[in-house]
Amino acid sequence: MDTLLRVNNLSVFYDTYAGTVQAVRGVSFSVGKGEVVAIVGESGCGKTVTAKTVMGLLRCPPARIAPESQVLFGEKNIYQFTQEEWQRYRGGDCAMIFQDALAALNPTLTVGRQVEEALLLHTSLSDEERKREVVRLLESVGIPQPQARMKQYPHEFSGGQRQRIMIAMALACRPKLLIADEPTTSLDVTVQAQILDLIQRRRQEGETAVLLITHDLGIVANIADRLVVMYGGKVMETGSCMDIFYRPKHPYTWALLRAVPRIDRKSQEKLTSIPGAPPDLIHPPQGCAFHPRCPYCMEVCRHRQPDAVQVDEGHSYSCWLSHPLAPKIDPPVMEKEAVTYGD
Amino acid sequence: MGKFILKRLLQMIPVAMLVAFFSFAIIEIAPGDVLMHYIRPNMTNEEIEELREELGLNDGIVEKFVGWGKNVLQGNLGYSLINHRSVAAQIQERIPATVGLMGASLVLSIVVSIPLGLLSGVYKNRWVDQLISAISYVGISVPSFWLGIVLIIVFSLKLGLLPSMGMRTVGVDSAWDVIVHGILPAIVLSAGNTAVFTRYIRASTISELEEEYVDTAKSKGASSRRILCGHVIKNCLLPIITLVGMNLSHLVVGSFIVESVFSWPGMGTLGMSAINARDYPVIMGFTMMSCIILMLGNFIADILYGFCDPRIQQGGDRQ
Repeated sequence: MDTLLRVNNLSVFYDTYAGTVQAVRGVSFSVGKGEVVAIVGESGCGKTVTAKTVMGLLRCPPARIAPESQVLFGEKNIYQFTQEEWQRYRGGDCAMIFQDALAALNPTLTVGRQVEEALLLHTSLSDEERKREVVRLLESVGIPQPQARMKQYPHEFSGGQRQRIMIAMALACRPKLLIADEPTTSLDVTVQAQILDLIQRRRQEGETAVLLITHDLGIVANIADRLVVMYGGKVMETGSCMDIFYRPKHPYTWALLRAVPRIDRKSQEKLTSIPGAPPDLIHPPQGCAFHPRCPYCMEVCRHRQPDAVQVDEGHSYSCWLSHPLAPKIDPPVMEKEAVTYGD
Repeated sequence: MGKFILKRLLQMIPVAMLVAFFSFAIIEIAPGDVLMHYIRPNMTNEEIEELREELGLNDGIVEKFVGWGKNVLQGNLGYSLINHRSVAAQIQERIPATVGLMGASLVLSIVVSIPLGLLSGVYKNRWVDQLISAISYVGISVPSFWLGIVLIIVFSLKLGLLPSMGMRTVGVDSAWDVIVHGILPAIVLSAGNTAVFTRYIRASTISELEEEYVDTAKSKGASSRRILCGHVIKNCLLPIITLVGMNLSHLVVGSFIVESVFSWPGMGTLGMSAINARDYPVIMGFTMMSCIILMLGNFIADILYGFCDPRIQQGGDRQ
């Protein structure tokens, strides 16, 4: 698969009065053409910052991107873009859906004009054609009576409709990459399914790759091809959906999976939460970011950051347990079951 | 919307009545009365008492208020106790000067503060912003009579560019002449409001620029100029409508001082002389007039806001 987006060693800092927050620390991953890659992790693990960096939406200052970071779109590093290249890239090659569609839509412009703006900026359609395209786009995301509704304002739509308008807007110019930052978090489950279906469908139709930011593993299992598990601003484990759900290697991934309710599990089994709290990124823990909460923590974990270890093609993780001298730890019982499911 | 307008109009009636009553009470409580202007050195106490009775000054406050109110309801604002001319006529001949001055200074405030505020907000904490902020702090702090006097000294006395007082040159009757006379008073009257509006627009520009829809527009590929002109401006200027409505009272109060400084023949000068003479029909007349201007201003601001902000228009319809 051709690589569309490659993020190399991305680090983002926030300079605050309390100190420097190391929001993202050396993250690398890639997205292939037409692929759905999900970044999962708890709140504050750097998911959204990563997404915003790829879109070039970080406000610097207060944010600061480390000079050695690279975000390659196609062949080009986006941080060497000129103003014009940026404007072509944003909205044209790469579009974004935000978590809170009500905040992300301009309250005083009609929905039609907001969708139209993307077309206005990236296509040479005439006024007439643009209007028709807006109607078609709104229709394609399931907004009833698009002709009339495009003249309405965001507050006149339901939450799910607003998110669908966001999708229509993002997909208006057929971007190669769609970044979806928690697109369904504020929606109820049925609407969630509709939105996911929409994203899924558009991806099958065209060649739109999706970078999905979420903390909901259920969603991921449905639509993602590959996963990037982040914790404390670092990538803990990355692999295909199968790898992560059925052959997870990292203790954090184990813990994360055990915290998700599953329909095929016995009802009396308790969900396990991960003890402790996410790390303070002003003073991130030395060594492995997860060590303070890891039940398998060893002395070395407290001091040295483990390197990523490749398991199979495309499946790698960063944990000292991979070291030949480390004790052999069997994945917790439930994951063992899962392994048998998978194989 | 119609229902909303009617409701707002009806709400004005009790407000006007309360304003009338309290103004009346304050005049009554203030020491001294209009009699001072009638007393001659050789008058006896009996004569003074007789005059007091004749002018109706011995009546109780309620009696006076009811009498005045009855007349007002019949469309008669009464007569000045000093020059015995009809209050309505006096206000009528003065009001164009005041409203013209207020209007000019309001327009000046808005026209100056919008670009300054936007510039300041967009270049937050840069030198442009610091310069504009410094000027607006001065504008807020400087008392208008002082600014008026300084401007007179500079532009009239030293440079001889602009007239320092009045509204017309004797013997000249042209609109241009009035405009030239109005420049300094309008600047002085607008200074405070301009500064307040600038600060306000700066703050709302800064907060609007942090809204997420700005990120959305950016992610669509809009240039920063397009984001500012196409998305942000409308949202940061909406609160200005309310602000103007609220600050109309500053204009009314300010026009008293400014008119006195520049001898501008408006309601302010009329009011000042009436207050000094305790000429209560005139005081009541212009108080009520100011009250009506204020209420109408706020009313228009509310309606206008409803027309400009789609969210409010909807709410009004549903009620």
